[in-house]
Amino acid sequence: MDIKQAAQFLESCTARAQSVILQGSNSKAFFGRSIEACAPSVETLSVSEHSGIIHYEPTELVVQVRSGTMLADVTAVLEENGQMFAFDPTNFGGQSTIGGMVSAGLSGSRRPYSGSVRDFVLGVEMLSATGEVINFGGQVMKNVAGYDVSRLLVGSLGCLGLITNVSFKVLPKPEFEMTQRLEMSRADGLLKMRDLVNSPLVSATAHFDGQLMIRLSGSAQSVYEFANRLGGELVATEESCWHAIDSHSIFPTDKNLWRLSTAPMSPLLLDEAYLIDWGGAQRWLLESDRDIRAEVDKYSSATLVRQTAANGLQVGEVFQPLSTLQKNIHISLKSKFDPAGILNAGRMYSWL
Amino acid sequence: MIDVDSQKAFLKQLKAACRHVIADQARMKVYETDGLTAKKALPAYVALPETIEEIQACMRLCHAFQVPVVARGAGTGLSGGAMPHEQGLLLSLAKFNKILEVDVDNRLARVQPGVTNLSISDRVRPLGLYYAPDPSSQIACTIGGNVAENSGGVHCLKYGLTVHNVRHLTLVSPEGKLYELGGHGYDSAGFDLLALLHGSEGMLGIVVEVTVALLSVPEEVSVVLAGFDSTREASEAVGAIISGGLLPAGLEMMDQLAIQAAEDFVNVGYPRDAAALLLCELDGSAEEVQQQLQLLKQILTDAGATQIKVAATPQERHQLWLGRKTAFPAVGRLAPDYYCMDGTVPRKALPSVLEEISDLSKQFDLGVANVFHAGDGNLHPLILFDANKPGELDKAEAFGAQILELCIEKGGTITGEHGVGIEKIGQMCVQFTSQELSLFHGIKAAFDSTGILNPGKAVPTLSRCAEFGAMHVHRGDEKFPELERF
Repeated sequence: MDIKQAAQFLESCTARAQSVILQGSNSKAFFGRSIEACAPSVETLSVSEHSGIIHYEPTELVVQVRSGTMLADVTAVLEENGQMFAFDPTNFGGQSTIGGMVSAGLSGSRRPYSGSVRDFVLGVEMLSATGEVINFGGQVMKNVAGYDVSRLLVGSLGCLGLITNVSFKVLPKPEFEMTQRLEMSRADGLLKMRDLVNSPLVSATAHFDGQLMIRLSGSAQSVYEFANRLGGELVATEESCWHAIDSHSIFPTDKNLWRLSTAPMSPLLLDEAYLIDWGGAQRWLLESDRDIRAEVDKYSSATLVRQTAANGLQVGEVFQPLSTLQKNIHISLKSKFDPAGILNAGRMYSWL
Repeated sequence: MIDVDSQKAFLKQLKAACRHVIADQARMKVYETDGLTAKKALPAYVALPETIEEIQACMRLCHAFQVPVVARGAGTGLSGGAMPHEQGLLLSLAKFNKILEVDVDNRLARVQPGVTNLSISDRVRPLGLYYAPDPSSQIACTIGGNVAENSGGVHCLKYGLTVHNVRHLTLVSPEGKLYELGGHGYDSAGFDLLALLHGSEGMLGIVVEVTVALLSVPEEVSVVLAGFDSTREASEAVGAIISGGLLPAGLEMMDQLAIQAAEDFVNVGYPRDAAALLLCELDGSAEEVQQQLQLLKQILTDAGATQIKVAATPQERHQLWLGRKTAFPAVGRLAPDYYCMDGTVPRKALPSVLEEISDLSKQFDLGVANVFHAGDGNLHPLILFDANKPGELDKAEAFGAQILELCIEKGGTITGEHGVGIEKIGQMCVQFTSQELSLFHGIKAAFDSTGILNPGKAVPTLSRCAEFGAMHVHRGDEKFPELERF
């Protein structure tokens, strides 16, 4: 389906109040609530054919990509030019698309050290629920004209519109990277992460299985010097954990996978977490039946990221509940973007 | 708008709701304008609440009487975003000037909205920390205003804008209800309303508390000055630095008029004969900075720099920045008035845009000095004029408008960091289609259904755009097809 056909399709769906699932490769089917389980007569609109890099100028540090483009294809082109998405994008089964990456808004290991997906989105073109092509932001680094809709769309799970292309800021790839492993307790690991939080050479940290992993990025000479000061032992690149964490393959699948976003030094669920990363600000828990959302404070949030296959499709709520006022703003925003409520209805919350 | 009896009732209740209320015109005079002094209006009332409860009570009252509310920090904004509404309440957050908590472990500071940007860094510097965004007005501007405008500064090339450095906001809704957005981690549930609030120019809510992220003061900092024989060579060097793999903490450019004005003003040793200069700051670990410095010098030499000076001491570094940071007042001495513009273009367009601005300067017969965030492509042409000469202000505004439209034409935007406010509301009609503007109005309504927050700013009504006559047809669509044409 090309963009013109997609626009006509959306326009007719809005007119008929027909629910639509927007998707790229569906590599994140596990994430969010299952729409199929809630709305049996839903139709699917895939952007997977809408692919290709529209514009890439390494000297501008800007790349503009169609939403159906495979993430791996884009990162390969960036790599040829010595550049990268600086948030370690999550790529599930190697199948994730650019549109899905932006819609889910999931950032990887580098997040605390260089920023998130939303931090690097410069502009978005989208199709509205009524099939109009609309544009927000652009290809420049600073832009405060109008509300920041492009950042609002990051992590909106397709509930506000069909993202058709996105402009990103990209960064030079570090000259050299290596990972150092230090044996230490969870509590000591957390303190070490705190001390390293603004070290210019640190680009990822994680603690699991009694080990603190620290990735260093920079010139070979300064990385080696820093590693010597840190101590511990070098981890072979092929054994480094970062890709396995970012793609969740490091987590056993026999239990529900929960993610807690909290203040890095918070004591919340610290020892119970299977793995902590992002300098301590992201904690992963494996639980059979426990719902950790009730246990978090107001500055933290928990997400049921993935349920075990035995539990089937996610029909219950998976995200942290919102306050009444925030909920009302969400409902009202949704109605402005999607008056008939047809776009990925129920994917984020049952009431949205 | 409310009738005279209601006005009396409103004022009486306002005084009961808030201890500090100003209703006499003489004392209101200081609030009639923000940093965009060409636009003035007196508010109907001024309130200076001291507690969140007072803010909530003011908002409940304004909502009940449908009185417009304009929130104000220090009033340093450059686009008229805090210009009062003549029938409205000017809500000054000046008394909210406390740093409530510094959480060293989590690198967070919880502050009130009226705290000045610089005072956060001043407070945490003994701990080896600082708050990164540093708009040039940082000595006076408040963090609440920084959120409203999504302020940048000379270091945002590497460290981002306000939106990248704020974790949590407490807000009061137009109905007077208190709510929170964000968290103490790096993200939170639901739509990213925290991001949406940044740069929303006081249109969506009243920010009453801000939690900002703090960074460690870098181990090593190096500042390099490079002089060039033409603005073209200097702006091409900007692209070469970035594509050479360097990510400077700051990368600023000044043209000859600005260089000479700065030299006359603070005498910091800038090359007076250079057509343009670049100031480039590198930071990081000591080894990294030394390596990057070698690469930078090579790139600058290859790009045709006629002079390269590396600040050897912290004092020299301070001197080099001083000329840049005082450039606006320095240029201000060249003419009775100046008009500061704020467009952004892709970096590659810098050479041609600067040349076209120079052509426009001759065409309008008004001088222009350029001092700007080159690394971000964020231009700040300062148009020199004399407001006392009949027609010169209009001429300066027309010149400015043409610069902004030039920015859009080059794939840029009408405002990089100063906001739309009242100043650029006409150019919004050029940058956005009616569908996009309608969605902006929808977003506004989702937060403020009766439209009492800062009405008339930031997003133009469709009828205003029709009046503005910016018939900018792009993407094959005629704009505002729903409106009749005469």
